[in-house]
Amino acid sequence: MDSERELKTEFRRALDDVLPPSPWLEAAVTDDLRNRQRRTRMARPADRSQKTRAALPRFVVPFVAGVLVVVVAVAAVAAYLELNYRFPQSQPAGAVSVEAYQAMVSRDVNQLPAGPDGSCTTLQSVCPAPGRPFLTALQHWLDDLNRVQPPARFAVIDGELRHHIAANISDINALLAAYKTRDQQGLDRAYSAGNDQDGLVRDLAANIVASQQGTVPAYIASVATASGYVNACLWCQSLSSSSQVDCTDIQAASCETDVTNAMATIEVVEAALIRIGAPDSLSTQDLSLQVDLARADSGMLDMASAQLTGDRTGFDAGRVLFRQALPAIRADSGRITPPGSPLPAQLLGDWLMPAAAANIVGQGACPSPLAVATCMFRLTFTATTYNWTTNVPGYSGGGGYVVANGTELAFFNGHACDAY
Amino acid sequence: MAVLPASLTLLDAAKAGDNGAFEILLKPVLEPGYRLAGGMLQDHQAAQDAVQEAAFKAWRKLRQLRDGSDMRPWFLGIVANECRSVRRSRWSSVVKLFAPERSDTPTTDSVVSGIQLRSALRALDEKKRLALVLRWYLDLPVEEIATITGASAHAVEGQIQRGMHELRQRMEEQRG
Repeated sequence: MDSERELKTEFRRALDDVLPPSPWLEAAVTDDLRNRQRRTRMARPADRSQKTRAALPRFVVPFVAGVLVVVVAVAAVAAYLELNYRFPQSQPAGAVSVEAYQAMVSRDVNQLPAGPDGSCTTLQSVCPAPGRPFLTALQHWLDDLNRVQPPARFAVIDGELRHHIAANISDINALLAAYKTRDQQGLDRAYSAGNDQDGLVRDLAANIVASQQGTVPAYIASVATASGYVNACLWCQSLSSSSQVDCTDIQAASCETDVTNAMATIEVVEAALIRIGAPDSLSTQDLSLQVDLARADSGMLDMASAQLTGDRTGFDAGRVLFRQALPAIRADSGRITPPGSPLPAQLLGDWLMPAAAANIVGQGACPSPLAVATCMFRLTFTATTYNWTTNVPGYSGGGGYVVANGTELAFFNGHACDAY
Repeated sequence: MAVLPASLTLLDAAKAGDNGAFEILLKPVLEPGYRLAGGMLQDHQAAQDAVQEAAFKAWRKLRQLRDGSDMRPWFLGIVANECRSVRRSRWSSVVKLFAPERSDTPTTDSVVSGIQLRSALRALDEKKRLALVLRWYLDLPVEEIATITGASAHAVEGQIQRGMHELRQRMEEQRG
């Protein structure tokens, strides 16, 4: 086993390998910054230069200050009226159009203060002031979502968004409570959870705002890529396995890692389905997939919430939900397929790449003399699946589903090929 | 290099709109920012993009930097948030994180080891990955890492330890 010093040396070398020296960096960043500064100035009304600003007569300053106080007061009253009376609470507004829903989400997410900035993360910091504006903005957003019926296309993700916003509110309240009781561990845990939720809700919102209905090929490609992530999600496998030990202690770091990263994987898939919406011909299959993703997401939210309080029962319940959802997600993805039919008999079985060709693909990684025993790629077909294996150093195998469409083969829902 | 508090004269000038003063403040933290982004994203182009975006955000948020505060941890915090946004919101960066690595040179033990280590690093959760990169790649003290990440020094030490153990475990799994 490497000593810590050896591991650190390896660490630095591994990153230096992919990060070349950067003598160009300062010029590149400065040029980009100046361009953006120019564009920002052009977008603003002209300001009077400080050099040319004349001194004001003494009596003007208190007068201007008085006017400003009145203006601010009027603006505050107007904002209060807008918050409380634009959307009367007595009746839901009914189904809204896609554009109106996107505009509402865009407006509400932009009302959120800037993300966590570290000002409420230790018992010595300046809490609770920074948490309040967050709570107000999140609650306002949740109220808006609860008042309207989302368009059909966003019906499922709307539920998840509200779920995540509510979780974010709970995390901030937990953070403030931990601060009040001087509980540093609780503070760390709640801050980390709130940080994750803040990123998740903003990402969900961004994908809702950018959502467009996709073509059949674009949507299928998006689902195929997303399915690969689920298939390769080691944390998802760990959470759904009956023999895993990471969550023997649900507040252990290993368990937190599993839940955080599994949630991030599912969120990436949810975001993909929203950003490139299903065409009408695949709307039924898409709805089924979205519903099962939402179940998985809910299970993980329950696990994350339970981790905050050490609630073993709640954690296990969330895990059951997640375990049930995961195979359903895979089945749903398998039903969203490119057009085609099972492979013909003459393609079934093993296809072996000669050593010389494999060595070229492997960029010279094979040992000499070249031989299939030490240098090969093998592709194995069944009627509906493909699987490839290799013994070329630095490469690993993969697999997925395949259909034949005339003279073409379409590979989809493959496992991500990596060195895990 | 030594960490100096942001010069009061320069910082005041930059806050007042002197872009030249801001560039002077920015210059010494660009390289650390690039190394941080490179360690988190493992792609030099994405690292450059992240640093450029962070520089612009720093310019816009400069008033939040208190007089006498260190520029470096503040700027590196913005870079870290930018890397997080890149990872979460872009399909292309997620695809890259899961894409197989291939060496452009004949494979040696050190190249294979580098591939395995980077793969293991990508598998860590963000907190541990950030703590390890800041500690092992940028050689920052724990107290500064705590300022950057917004966690306590105790939490940072824990993240470094857990990150190291998990990194080692994942690499052994790959080798085994």
